[in-house]
Amino acid sequence: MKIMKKVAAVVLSISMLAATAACGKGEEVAGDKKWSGKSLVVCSWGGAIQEAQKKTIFDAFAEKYGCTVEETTDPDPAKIKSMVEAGNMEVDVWDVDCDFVPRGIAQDLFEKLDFNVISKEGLVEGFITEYSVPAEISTLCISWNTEKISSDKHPKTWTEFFDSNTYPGKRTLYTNPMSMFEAVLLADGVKKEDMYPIDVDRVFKYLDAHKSDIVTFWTSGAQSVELVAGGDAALGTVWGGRVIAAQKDGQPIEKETNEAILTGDAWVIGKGSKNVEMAQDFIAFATSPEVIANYAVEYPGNAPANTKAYDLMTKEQISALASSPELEKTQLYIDVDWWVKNYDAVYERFQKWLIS
Amino acid sequence: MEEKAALEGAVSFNKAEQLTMNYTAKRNKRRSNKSWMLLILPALFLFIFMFIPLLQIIKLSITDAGGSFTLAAYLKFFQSSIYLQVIALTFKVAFVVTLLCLLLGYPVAYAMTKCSKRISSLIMIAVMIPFWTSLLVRTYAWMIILQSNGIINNILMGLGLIKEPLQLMNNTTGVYIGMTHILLPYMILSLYPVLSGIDFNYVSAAQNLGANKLLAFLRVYLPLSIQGIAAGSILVFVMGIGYFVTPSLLGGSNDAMISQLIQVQVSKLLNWQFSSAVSIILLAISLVVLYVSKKLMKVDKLW
Amino acid sequence: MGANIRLENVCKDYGQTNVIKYVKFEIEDGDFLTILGPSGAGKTTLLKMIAGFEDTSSGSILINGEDIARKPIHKRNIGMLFQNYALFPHMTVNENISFPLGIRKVKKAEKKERVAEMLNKVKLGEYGKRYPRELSGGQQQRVALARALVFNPPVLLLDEPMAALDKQLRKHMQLEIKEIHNALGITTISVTHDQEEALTMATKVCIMKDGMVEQIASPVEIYERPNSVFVAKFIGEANVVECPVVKVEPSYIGIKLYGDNLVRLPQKSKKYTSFNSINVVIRPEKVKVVDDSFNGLRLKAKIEQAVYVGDVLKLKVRLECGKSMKVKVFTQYSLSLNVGDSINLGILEEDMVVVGR
Repeated sequence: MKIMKKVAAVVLSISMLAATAACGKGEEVAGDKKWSGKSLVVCSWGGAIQEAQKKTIFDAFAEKYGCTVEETTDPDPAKIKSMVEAGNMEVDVWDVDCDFVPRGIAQDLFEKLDFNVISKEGLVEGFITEYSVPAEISTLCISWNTEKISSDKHPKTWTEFFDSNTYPGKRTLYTNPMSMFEAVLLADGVKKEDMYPIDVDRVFKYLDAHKSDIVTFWTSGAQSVELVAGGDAALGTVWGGRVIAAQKDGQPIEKETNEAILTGDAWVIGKGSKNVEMAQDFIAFATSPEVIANYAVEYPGNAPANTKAYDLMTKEQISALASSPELEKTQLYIDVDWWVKNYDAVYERFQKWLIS
Repeated sequence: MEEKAALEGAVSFNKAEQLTMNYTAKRNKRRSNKSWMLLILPALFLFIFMFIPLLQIIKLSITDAGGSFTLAAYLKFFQSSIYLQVIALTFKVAFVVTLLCLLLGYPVAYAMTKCSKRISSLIMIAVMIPFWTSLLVRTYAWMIILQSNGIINNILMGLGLIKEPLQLMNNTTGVYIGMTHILLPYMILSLYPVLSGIDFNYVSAAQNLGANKLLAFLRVYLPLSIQGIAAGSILVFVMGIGYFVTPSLLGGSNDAMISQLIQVQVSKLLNWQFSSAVSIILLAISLVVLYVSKKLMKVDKLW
Repeated sequence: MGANIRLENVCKDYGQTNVIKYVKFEIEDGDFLTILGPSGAGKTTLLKMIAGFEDTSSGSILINGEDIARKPIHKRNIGMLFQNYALFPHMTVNENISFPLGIRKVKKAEKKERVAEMLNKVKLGEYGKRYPRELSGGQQQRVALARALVFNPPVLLLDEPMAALDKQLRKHMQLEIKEIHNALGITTISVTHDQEEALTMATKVCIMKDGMVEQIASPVEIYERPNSVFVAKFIGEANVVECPVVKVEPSYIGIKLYGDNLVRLPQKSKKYTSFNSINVVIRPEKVKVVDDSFNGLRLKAKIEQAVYVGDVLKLKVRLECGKSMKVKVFTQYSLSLNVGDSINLGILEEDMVVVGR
């Protein structure tokens, strides 16, 4: 009797599975469905950014192409390199820092992009290479603790940011010289157009003068918010998106988009990926104006990587962004090329300066 | 006649006894020789997962992109003074932390030897509980306590003892507090077995011979505990040198320890050759420190 | 070098339990006192109180008239030999012995001299640079002794000094310590549970029981004139027999011993006027095998047990009155005594000791 019951249960479950499978098939709607049954692995930054990406990019892609998108986090350059060296590329598409792209290219860690599939139209030029296209433009904004500094009277420029007479208290800056140096030079009165090549000596001179005002240089986005919202620093450079997320949590922090430093991250395909074609389709999808527009609305802390997206957004939506064609006028784009050539030397000199 | 037979019997009995003894001795010797075989599996594990990767790192540090032998990475290390400076700083931090752990841990271990079994077990549990909490969680907990508007500052400001919040974090103070807290159990656990083995009669004898409590402690108790002090200090120091999570979260940007610099080289700049070289140099220096301390403190048994 | 030591009503309580109850005695300069007693008697506790390792709950401990009961350990200036010697393992023999001198800020040259002198006294002159772990048990004891005496304390305390030594060594060390004691004239208090040791080494023996002093007297006195049944039974072997008192006179009392034997015993300082019966102690070796010419109490007995112990023959006999008795006979008398034999025993009146309880 027992065996009979077991057999019956197995038969029943198998037939049920078959039925659902059949149902599933029947539910297919119009669309490409090119990659049905396949899975693409994408690695991004986690947290609020990845949530927004999932909503507006990953799920949309999965639906359109009838496949699944597997997510993972922490796009650590060392991870990518070890995967390439081991000959086992577990992730197909990576969302990486723009300054990692040249290094990765030099060490042959990426697959070339197929620009017949991916349209360059509208994409921010400074961040396009043979191996990468911009995923989004990130903003490093002047930010302050609203309990210490009122939003009526707050620093609007980097010069004001460093003015400890008007705004007493400590400051915290990004430890990465790339973007931090630019902010310092802007504060010292250097004009946007004259930023590059960066006068490194001038940077250190200014830092020397303001060393006592700086409580510390933050290493992670979470730390930057902690320091400012927590009160250890009255002012700081914080990622725009992080400020918005912290405000949602009710934290006493606000940002100013004027003079924000613009950097970006990029989509790349890991070398040795088994789904290169699918990855190309994904990147093309992710950088299309519609998708970018949806993403920008979802995550207004960053700016669209594709300027054509602005045509698809309302005035209100655009005004919520940390950067836009309008705001860009006072904001500064990072020159990735200069940094790639000079980073190592600058980094060492900066470390020395830190412990002096 | 009888006697002779008895004698012969005795002799043969002795012989048999001797043979048995020889056999037993040999068998025991073989048995004890076999016990080293228990070490084969762990040794294999260590070999595969530690020595081989170590050799790979050494190889990486002396090979350039083309695959040929080069000492460029090591040269770079000695040419840029920043790395030596940071190593010196790292050693300084590890040394201070070791000292703090010793000053805080010695009384605790001592108290454990003096208390009843029940109380000392409770203290032991209290010492061990942090081990069951992840290092990251403990470090974040410290951030909450040490922040400008953290628990300590709130209490002190609330009581009116200070006007401005104390800078307990994002500087070396924070690093010392965090690292000492995390490494303290290691010191206590190294000290306790040694201290509990010290016969209190020695201290009594010293007192009886005219030494007051302080002298008895300094001249008799302390020297007898040197093995524990050495073991604990070396353990804490070597672990402290490699720390980078706690210093990066609780320290300021000028508190970067050598591991943090290595991390940037590995993760951001992808200079794997260079970072391997720095790691090997760090390992070499640690081994030298271990060797010198062993000689200085005449540590026979480390654990 | 010695000191007069006097304990007055010394008490020690652990919570509700009274461990030492009103101990009182006095010993003279140069005395060698051995405190003897069963385990739990409190002898080690008493020693620790004199040394300072235990507090006195009440009473005074006077050394040369000065009450040291409240003095901290390190100020008492008492030499002590610990049971396990407590030689500092991280110091050489020389360093161990010079330790108390260093504490007393003795100058280097003098220190060296005195240490060497002490080492020679204990016959370990060549062992100065060795470590305690390299020495045998007996050698360690001698070093410990040297360390305890090098700073010329007025008092020396010994805590079960022979406990860790084997029999041969024990005898040897007993003599050595006695020699040193005589040479230095230092007042010594020793704690032991070994009666033979007590009798051999001491000038005074103190028997303790349940935290109180039973009797304190010279070894001879303790043995020959025990003042209680406990002391009589504790030291050596004894026949203790309860005898009814039949007559009380100012100079003697008449008792019935072992049946109807009337014996007159001189009454010295004890008054037994109100006693119905008293205890009489007779040491087994005082009972002799006699013939009819014996001028004392004669008893007929039958041998029940005979144990040959080399120099003596230990007998257990059954008397006519029904009581049994222990008898010790020296084998030089080459008597062939066997179980079942009837023998005539004799006891002199002076060998019968009256004890109260």
